[in-house]
Amino acid sequence: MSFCQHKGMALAGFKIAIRYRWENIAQVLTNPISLIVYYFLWKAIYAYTGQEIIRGFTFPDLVHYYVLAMIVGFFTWSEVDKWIEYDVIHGKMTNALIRPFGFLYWYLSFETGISIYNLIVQTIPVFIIGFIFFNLQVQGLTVFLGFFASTTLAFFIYFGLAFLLGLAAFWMKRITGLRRVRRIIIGFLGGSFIPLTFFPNWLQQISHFLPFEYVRSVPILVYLERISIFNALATQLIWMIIIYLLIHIISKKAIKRYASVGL
Amino acid sequence: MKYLKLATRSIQIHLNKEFAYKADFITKIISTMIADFVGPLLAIIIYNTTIGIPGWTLHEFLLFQGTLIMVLGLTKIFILSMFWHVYEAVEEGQFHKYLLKPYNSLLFLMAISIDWQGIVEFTVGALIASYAMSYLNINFISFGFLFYIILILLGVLFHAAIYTMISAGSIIAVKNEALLHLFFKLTDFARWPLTVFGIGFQIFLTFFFPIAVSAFYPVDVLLRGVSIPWLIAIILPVLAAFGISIWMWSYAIKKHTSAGG
Repeated sequence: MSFCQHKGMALAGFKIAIRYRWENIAQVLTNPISLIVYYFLWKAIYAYTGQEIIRGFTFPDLVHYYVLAMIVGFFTWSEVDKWIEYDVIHGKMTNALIRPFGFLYWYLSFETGISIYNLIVQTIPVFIIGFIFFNLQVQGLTVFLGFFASTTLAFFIYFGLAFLLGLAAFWMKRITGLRRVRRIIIGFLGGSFIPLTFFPNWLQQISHFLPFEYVRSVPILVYLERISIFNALATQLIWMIIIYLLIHIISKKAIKRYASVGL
Repeated sequence: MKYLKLATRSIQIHLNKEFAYKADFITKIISTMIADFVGPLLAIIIYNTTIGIPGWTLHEFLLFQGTLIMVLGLTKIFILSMFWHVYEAVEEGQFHKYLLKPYNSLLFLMAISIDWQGIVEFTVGALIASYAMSYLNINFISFGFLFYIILILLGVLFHAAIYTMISAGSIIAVKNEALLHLFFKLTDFARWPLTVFGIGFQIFLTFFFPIAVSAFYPVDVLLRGVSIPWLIAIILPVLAAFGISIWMWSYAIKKHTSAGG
């Protein structure tokens, strides 16, 4: 698949995202409400507990963690499993399969376009909100580039996981319940709701062997300079390779099942 | 009675549709249960790593979360899907078909929008609340418990009022999904006890946008009691919101043009 073909599909994704611009702007305006809620909750808990540091996080650190979780969440978000489900149910997967490049790359380019749009409309404004209202620290160039690289890899891992789940639609047709499970597990084990250091040790150990923390927690920790950039990127790269190998194997079996009948 | 028949028929049709995709039906049940257990799980993690939320023991807080899940479950059963029914019908210019039927449009839409997933959510909430109550010495034959039930129903009424307002808004403005998103976000304030927020937020969430009635006030009244004037002060804003929502719905129906969008 050539760069021009990638660019064309990414542009299509970008244009579709623009179609929903008011919803996206509303999200940027309303999502800081969650930050306000977490701010007050943890302020009360820190004051009540009387400790300055809980599980390695001071109160400002924890607020920054939630701001960064929102930023990473916006950039890495992918609903490719929903697109696959829709295309399988409505018999439209044929369009993706007859194209002169793999349907994985077709969806990936499309979602990349949406993510670039999210970067401009959601990620950057939340960064600015974080700097102005929540005293988010401005990091040096190395850390910032490391964060950007880690978030980009997180996007590919998230997309890969969602794509793998989407392949279940070739067997089950409707995967609404599975998609919800995906959102909850990535949110919880990814560390979106609470940093993973708050988890019991056994759960933290298990979590290290799963891909979810590399989607949310790891890019945040890179920005907060709590883990080595090199180690983070290397592990994310390994997970990315594993997930895309799995996609390669399972998608072959999935396509064999497809009959384009639709509903 | 005719609305009850409609609701029963509607839920039968919805279930038949779900049974066509059995695996998805089962995963929907499991995912709803997992989603509802995330809150209590976070609570346990918070209480294991800190002293906890000021003024709330773990079991009191679990009762709080169970109550909230019950309220959200009941809301999902009776009204949440109504918004999407209205939204899609208005967008396609098909909303007038609901106005031609010999039923009250609001009750008719509520009856046909019953969502079975809310039953799962309500059950999970009831289980969590029952578990927490078993540790809390709750007197079930008391005014406190009666007020708890009444305030839960008022919590559902408040959510119903907001969804009715947003639905009415979509009849006039056609596309107002952003308002629904805003409400979902504001619901985050109901997920934690009112006492963790500043006094300004406490006043706002009690008298102007009384979402604290979703869980905080029912549990607070049950555990710590309440004076009658304060109880009336909690109830009045909810009734006012409900009254406004009915007025907005009637106004929106009168202004509807069925032009789509």
